[in-house]
Amino acid sequence: MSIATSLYRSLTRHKLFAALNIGGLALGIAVFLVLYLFVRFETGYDRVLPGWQRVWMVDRSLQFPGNPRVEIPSLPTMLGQMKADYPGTTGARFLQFDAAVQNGTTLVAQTMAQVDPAYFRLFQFPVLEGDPATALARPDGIVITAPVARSYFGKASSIGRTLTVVIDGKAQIYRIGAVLRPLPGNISYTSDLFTALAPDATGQRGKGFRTFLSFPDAIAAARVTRDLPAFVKRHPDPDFPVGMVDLAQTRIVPLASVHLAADNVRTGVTVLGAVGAVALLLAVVNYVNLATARAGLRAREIAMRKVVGATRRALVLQLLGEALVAVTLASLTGLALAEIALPFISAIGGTDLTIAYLGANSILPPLALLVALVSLLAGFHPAFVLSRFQPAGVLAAARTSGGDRAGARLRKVLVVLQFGIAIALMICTAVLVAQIRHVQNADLGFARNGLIMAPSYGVAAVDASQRRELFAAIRTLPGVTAVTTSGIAPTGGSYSISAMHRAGATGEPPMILQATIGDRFFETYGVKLLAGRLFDPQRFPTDETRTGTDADKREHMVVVNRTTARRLGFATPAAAVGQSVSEGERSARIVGVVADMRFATPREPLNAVSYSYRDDGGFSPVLVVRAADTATVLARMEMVWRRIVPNVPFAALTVDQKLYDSFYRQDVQRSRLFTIGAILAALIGCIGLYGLAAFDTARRVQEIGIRKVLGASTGDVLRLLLGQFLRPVALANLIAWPIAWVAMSRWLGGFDDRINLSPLYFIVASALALAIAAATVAGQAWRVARAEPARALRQL
Amino acid sequence: MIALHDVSRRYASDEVETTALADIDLTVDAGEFVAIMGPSGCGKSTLLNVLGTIDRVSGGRYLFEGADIAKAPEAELAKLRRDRLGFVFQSFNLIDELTIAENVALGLAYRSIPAKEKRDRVAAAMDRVAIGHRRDHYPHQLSGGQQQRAAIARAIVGEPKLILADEPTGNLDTENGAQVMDILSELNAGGATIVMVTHSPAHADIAKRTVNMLDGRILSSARRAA
Ligand SMILES: Nc1ncnc2c1ncn2[C@@H]1O[C@H](COP(=O)(O)OP(=O)(O)OP(=O)(O)O)[C@@H](O)[C@H]1O
Ligand SMILES: [Mg+2]
Repeated sequence: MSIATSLYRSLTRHKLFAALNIGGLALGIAVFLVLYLFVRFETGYDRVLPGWQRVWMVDRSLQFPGNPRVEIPSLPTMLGQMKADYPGTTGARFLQFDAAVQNGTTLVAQTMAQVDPAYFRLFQFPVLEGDPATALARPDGIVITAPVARSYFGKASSIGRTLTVVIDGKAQIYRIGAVLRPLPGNISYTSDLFTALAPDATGQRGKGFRTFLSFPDAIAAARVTRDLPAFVKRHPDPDFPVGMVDLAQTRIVPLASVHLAADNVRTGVTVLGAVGAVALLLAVVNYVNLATARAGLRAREIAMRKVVGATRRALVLQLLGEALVAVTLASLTGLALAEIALPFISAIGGTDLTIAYLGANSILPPLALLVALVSLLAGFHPAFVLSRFQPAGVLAAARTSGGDRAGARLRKVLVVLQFGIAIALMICTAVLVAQIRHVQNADLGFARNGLIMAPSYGVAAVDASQRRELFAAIRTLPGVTAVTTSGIAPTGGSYSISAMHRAGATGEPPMILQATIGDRFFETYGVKLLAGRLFDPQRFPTDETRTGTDADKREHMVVVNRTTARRLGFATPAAAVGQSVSEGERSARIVGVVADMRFATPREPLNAVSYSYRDDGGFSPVLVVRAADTATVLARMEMVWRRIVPNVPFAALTVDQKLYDSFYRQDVQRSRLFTIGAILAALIGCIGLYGLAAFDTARRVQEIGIRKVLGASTGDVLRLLLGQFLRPVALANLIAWPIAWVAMSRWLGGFDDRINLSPLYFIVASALALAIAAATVAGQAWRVARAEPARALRQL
Repeated sequence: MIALHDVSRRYASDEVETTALADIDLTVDAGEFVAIMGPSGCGKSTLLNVLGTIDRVSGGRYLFEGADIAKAPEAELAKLRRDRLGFVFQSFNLIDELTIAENVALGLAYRSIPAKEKRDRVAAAMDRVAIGHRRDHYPHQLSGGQQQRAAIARAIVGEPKLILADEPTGNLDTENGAQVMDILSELNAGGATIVMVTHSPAHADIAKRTVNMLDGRILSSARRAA
């Protein structure tokens, strides 16, 4: 009998077995495939364009003591100096900003990058038509991406046509010289529109320049890396005060390492990859468990084969062959499941994953490798166990051989392992979901609902008189309860950091974030005043801080937050009120202390902030509006905006949305992937348990019958069976709890604003696992426990 | 001790209905040793199972010490089996995964008896059937006769009032069969009531009464002349 017919018969004869085994394996493979695609996408960032290995990026950052490290732009002059100091170095600068394309009467916001012509040699984007390098040789040349081209020009060629782009409120006409093919999603730095950077870009200093470099070889790159501190000393940043030079750090990093540089991003990808591997492992364990469990039932077949002369080798090959066929079947089913699930996964996970069958990214070679590995892994143990049976022993024993006792023990160990992992994943899911819900609802020190922010208020193209007009018009809009402006805003904005010194204090003065705010800032945000008073320039004209005049020299009034008061060494907020502190050459008087507001990510500690009042809100201010009905007010604001500044695109959104986009979205999406993975892993564990229970109860029908003959009641038998199936699940907690505890305390440790790791998560997850496991086996246990003993004993 | 009145047992399996027992009237007094004989398929095992409450009757009354238990709840029957009945099967029905001692101990598993007393009673039961030296072996390591003696030890460890034996010697050679019959006679002499199915006229002769069956009915019941 060939392997195929033997497998076919064993599949059709034991339908339940086949469904559980292949179904469970397929589910595991589907989870693995989806998460494998995710990990491949994430780790493949910036590795999609040819020559990616040669591209380096300048990474410049600044860190004040006690503050998180922040990225700062590289200097536009650096590229020229690099080329001069290290011959053979090439590179390009990249300056990205928001622009707007005039389409009829409407403005469409679009990202735009000014780049050096060499940019397209460094990044070899696939080109649909035209030549990017020659396109940028003209000052009015522009390179656009295919989706942009399609949205303005449809299917016709767009080469030579013009595009009116509004930059900083000024319209400029560009001629399209090249169109790039649609780009994959995993490229860190790209843009909708590209134009040429003016050769002398020094006027653009301070804007968000990125510098990309390429070196002749690895040795040259290593030499530059070594020499970089000296290079920075040779070419100091003219904008940096002397004292700050040591706080800045300049490095060159391979571009491909940039995407996963942040710890939490890397951890997220690693964890999801691990979940995929674990799901697959659980499914393989299932296969092994079910196959060895069934070994008992197949022992006679194998023994008879041996009696008629099959060698052990032939049997091992037969059983491995069966595993190969089963795993192939499961893989194809898993692939189909993954295909079906991907759109859904992409939607809720914020990913853009597709399965490719052809080309370099084809799923087929890794899938083939997977099939081979899983077949070996899953088939080896059953093949080994089964082929080892001594025919005489098997045929002599009434039923299964005594050798199955070891197999039963192994199965128990594997079930413990499976449920240990599944319970750990469940605990982690609970903690993850709770923490992510917490950061989205936690008290940030201000009322986060009903706030709208309009960053476009502060762009350079909107002048001071337009701002005043906008402010006045928006304040009187129906539905608006308060309006303010400020440089600092949720998720960022503009501010500076400087040391503040309390007279007579010893030790390093704390670095305090200096924020400028406009009228009714605290009132609009709804911040609690802890001591002193808020700014009130009507009653206290000296509350207004002026810059650039003589008035700058006099003491200015500040409101500080609680953290600042503490860092400055005041025992209570009230103790700080009325006190003087020095900030560089200036001196500041604290008029009030407010509660901490969390504008930064929940991962970082609360900032120490000192607020000073300026009528206009400060440099590049953000307009913030409080309204009950944000959607309606947003629409009204846009109408006002179009009337007053028609040449600047209106950009505004709720603070809630902004916080979600910047701080929560990625965690939410990743936690959804994790949750799905964890639930499916638990499900796979349950499939395994169900299968084992089914086989175990079938195998024990006689024993149960005898027990009932000897006076065991239905309850006794139920207790016996449930106890036996649930003991490994209970034992699994011993594995699950420490793993989950370590993993989750580390993950929560990455958050400043976090929940407590309460034992409740552990208890609930374990109870849930136990309940699910009980429900899984209860049906079977009930059936055999209820059976008439006479019938059970007759089945033999 | 037990009495069946007009008992019937029918099996319905996909369309075909088999009548395994019909119009059974049978009384067994305490201390009796009854042998049931008849051709294969006539319903002997079914009758024994009904007596042992491990199979339900389709109709009729089953009085156990005066109380009708034909429709008694399952829990009550389990208790009855635990406290009053002992079973011996033709195919032994020992549990492969348990040692002989553990198999015998199963006979006391569902009673609350102190562990030490349990141990003593298990040892005594095994000694009584001369199987004590095999206590730590597994069933498949024993001969058929030894396995049947172990099964008897399991049946009697609870000191049942009624022992039901379904062809206890069916799978044994003459010598082992004789040994088993000796044990059963001894138990009967000690006061236990025994109902035994057998195909062997010689073994039936050892019993005090023989019940003959055919096609699910009792043909005759004859007491052995003293
Ligand atoms: N669960 C069942 N389903 C259907 N028919 C059954 C069932 N159990 C027994 N029977 C039928 O009932 C009849 C009596 O069976 P029983 O086992 O009592 O016979 P027996 O006299 O013990 O035979 P043997 O001497 O061969 O053991 C048989 O015809 C049998 O096929
Ligand atoms: Mg029979």
